[in-house]
Amino acid sequence: MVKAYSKIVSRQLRSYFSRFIAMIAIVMLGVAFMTGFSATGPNMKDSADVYLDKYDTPDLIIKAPAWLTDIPALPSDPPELSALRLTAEDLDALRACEYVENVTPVVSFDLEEDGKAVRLSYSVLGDAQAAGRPELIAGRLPETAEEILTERASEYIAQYAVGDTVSLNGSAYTVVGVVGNPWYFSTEKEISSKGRGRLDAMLYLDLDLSGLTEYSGAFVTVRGAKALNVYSKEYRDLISTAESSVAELAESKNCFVMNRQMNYAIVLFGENADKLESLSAVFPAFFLLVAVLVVMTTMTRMVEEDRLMIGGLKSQGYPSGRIAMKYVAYALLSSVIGVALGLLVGFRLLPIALYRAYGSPFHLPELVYGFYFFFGLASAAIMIIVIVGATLLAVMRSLREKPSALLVARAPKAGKSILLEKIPFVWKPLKFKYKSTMRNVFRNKKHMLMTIIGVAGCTALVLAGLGLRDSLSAIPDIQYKKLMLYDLSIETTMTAYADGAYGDGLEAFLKGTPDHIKLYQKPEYIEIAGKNTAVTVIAAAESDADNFSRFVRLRGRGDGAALPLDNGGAIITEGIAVLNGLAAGDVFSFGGRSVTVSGITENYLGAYIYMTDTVYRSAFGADFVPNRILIIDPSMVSGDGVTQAILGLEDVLSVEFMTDTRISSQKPLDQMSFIISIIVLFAGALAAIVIYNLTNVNIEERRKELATLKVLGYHNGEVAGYIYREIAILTVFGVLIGLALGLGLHQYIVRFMSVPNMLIGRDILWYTYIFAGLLTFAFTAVVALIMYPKLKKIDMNSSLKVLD
Amino acid sequence: MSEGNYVVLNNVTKAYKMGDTVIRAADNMSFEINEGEFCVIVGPSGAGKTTVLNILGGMDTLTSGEISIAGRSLAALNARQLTEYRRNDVGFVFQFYNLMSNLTAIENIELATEICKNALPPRQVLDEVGLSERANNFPAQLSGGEQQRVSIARAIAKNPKILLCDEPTGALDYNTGKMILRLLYDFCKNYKKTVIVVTHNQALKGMADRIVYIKNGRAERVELNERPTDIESIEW
Repeated sequence: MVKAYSKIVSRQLRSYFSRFIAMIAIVMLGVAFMTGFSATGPNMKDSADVYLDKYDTPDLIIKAPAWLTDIPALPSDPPELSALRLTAEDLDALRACEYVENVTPVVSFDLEEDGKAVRLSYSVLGDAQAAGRPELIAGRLPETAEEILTERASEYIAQYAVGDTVSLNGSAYTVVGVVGNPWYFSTEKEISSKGRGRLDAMLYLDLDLSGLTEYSGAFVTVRGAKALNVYSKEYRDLISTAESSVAELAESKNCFVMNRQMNYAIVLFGENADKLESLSAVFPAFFLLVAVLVVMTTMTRMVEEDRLMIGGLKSQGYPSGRIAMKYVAYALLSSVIGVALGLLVGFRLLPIALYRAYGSPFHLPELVYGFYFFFGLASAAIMIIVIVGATLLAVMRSLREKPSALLVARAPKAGKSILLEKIPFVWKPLKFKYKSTMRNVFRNKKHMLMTIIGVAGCTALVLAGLGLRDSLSAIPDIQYKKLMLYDLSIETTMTAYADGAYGDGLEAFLKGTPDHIKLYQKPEYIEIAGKNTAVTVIAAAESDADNFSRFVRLRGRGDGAALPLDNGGAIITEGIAVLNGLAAGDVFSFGGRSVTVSGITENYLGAYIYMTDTVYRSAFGADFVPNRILIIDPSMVSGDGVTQAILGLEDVLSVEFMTDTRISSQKPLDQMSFIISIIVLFAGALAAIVIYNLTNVNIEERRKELATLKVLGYHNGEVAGYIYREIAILTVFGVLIGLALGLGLHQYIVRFMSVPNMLIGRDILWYTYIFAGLLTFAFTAVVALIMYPKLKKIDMNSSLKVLD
Repeated sequence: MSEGNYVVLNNVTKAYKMGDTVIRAADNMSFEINEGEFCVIVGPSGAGKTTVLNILGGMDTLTSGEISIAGRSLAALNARQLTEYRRNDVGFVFQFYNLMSNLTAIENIELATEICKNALPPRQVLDEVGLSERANNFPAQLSGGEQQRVSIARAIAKNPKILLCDEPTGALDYNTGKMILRLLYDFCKNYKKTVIVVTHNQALKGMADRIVYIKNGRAERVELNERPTDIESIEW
């Protein structure tokens, strides 16, 4: 009995092989998608954390004044410079702090060599416990004071090879190794006060071999921080406690304390992981829902088709449990195989693909696969439970009938008049074959529902995905061409303007570019919606308030109405307003200060608070001293000559050109695009399988009808039309519903993904709708082509002898 | 009865390969049927009835031999030409009616007539089988006999050269079966059409003009019946 029974099961697998494969594929896609997307964000954060911890990357960096002003270190420095540096006693004081685990001294400064900005760091290289060790990638560590290490090359950082000789301040050094400093794992440009305003090279010397006894700063690791993920709230809380206690010690020397949250690479990497996590909260859930519905219907139908066999087994005296087992085994087998494959792809392959997307602005840390099983296992469990459950329910329903009732073939689903027939002016002119198609469409509601859900779900995913790409790709142009209208911005020292004017050189330069405005700009970290967010406060002199809008357009997003900068309060960017639930007239409190919101301005990248000097003074209780100049002069573009000329001026700290900003803002958006492509790919695959599954089931169910048509003399093409017309109509319905659904999904995702410093546009381009629809039709067409041989092979004899 | 050999099978062989053995479902089968005859092909299960039906109906090709219907050879036709043959020259009546469940009675007839050249008006044919009242009923709303009548109407409406019937009474009760036979017989005589009934039911022999006995893939014997029995008096 067991042998015969297992034969039935294995034959069932074979006879429904294509359906079996389709089931596995759908389950796999659903689970893989859910698992992969939900695991990759946490995996990224773990990867960064493991990488940073591995090299004892500092939790805090103490920067003495010597570091901040790039005073070069020489063993013969005059003693008065000690005040600007850290001494052994200072380090001991730091070590005595209860929160501090490790203090490693460092000497770091930027210098100019042949017009290039070079960062020179004397680090503790020989001690495997030292904080802030760079990772040795090639070569070896220095053994003499004349040997040097180079940071790995990137778009901005120069390429030195082991064995090269580098000349610095008249001395020659030999490159003996290449390192990667986890602190700089972003490949973005690093700002410098030398050269062209950004670093051209980063070189490391061994501090112990240098003979230096005073330091420009120290790398500090915090006790207990290693155990925490760098992106966790616990970590931030611990660091902020430690930071305030360390800052007290450092205050005497006017030191600046920096933490990991101020590190560009770490923050940017975390933001990317966050974005991925927020995407994965919506897309995969929707995807899974579609997949579950489709498999559920497939199993139910399979059982219903098998009435005769169930009746046969039952009348032979097979117990109900054993009969049900067959279908449960089928359901279990297909869902378990699908889940296993899905978990494999989801945990292993998908994270790699998604992670690679970030390859461009980062030297990616090695990917760590954490055990983020929750979503994966939850989706796997949902899949298996739903599939097996639906199967069981369907089998039970059949088993409850008497064997005699089961053995008599159920009358083929009765033809019925449909509602459409009651509308004569629609029905009458319909061609005969379309009448038949329309009745078929409405004949089997489950069938109709499955197709429409499947197709609509996929179209929605594709539209939302592509729409998101539209929204993202529009951002840099709107932000940097329509809103931020200046061509370059110059950062000056804080003290430079204290007397009411800059130095002669800069003032003379500004005479040559009369279209400029002087502002005060201050970075602030404020907590928005539970996240530490970088916000820039920008204040303009009241006399410049009207002029300001020529440099930065302040306007409402909906109506485009200009927002005047006046003493009535501050204008905040939309991202800040949305996430804080602020409207014009509200009071906005941040970091112990508060301002009245006088307007909310359209803005997509970055978060800004704009105000007049008067508002600034009253809110911050500090004087208004310009430290930034915005210039409109399209003839000025970044290039060695221009940049260097500006940086050469007294008081100038850095200069930034709008075209560069725009280009670099494109990169993270490109990564999102890549990720969206993966979403669209998955959605497309799901669409194809759903349609394949449906077509397949459709053909299986109508074998007799199709064979009859053949006997009646219908050509193969006409027989195919009989099946395909129906699928085409259902696809049209599905696509239309899907487009509406996709629009909703898109709006939801856009709102969901918005963070204070990145607001995503709401618009989807008109041709994206068309493309999303056409893509689904294309999938249908491809499936139709694949199925054609199967239709051709249908045997006419089956129409003569088979009962049903 | 008109002269001439309307349906001719000459040494028709249909062989299938099953592993190493070759099965001859039709083995040098030869017989002829005249135009307008009511022919019954009888034989036990597995004798080759289905094969004959498939070959006559243009649903299968021959391995060797010759077959012609109304002077046209079928042996050399390709798949597309065979479809055209089924479309215009053959009417089928199936044991299980094979109506499209989502089409009404009249629409089921239209399904066949809309693709064929010399079709009769569907309404008229439906009237002839006595079902004009049920034109807009779906198959599920009809009895077995009524469904078979629609099926016959569908075959007749094509105005075919031959009408092929596969166990047309097999799924029906005695009285209904007789009514169906009457319908087929009347069509044969009124329209002077060739009707071929394939069955294992020996009782049907009585009403036939010609009886072909099939056994082991051969036409073992052909009998001509000068005085067919009235349908009412045949019994099974």
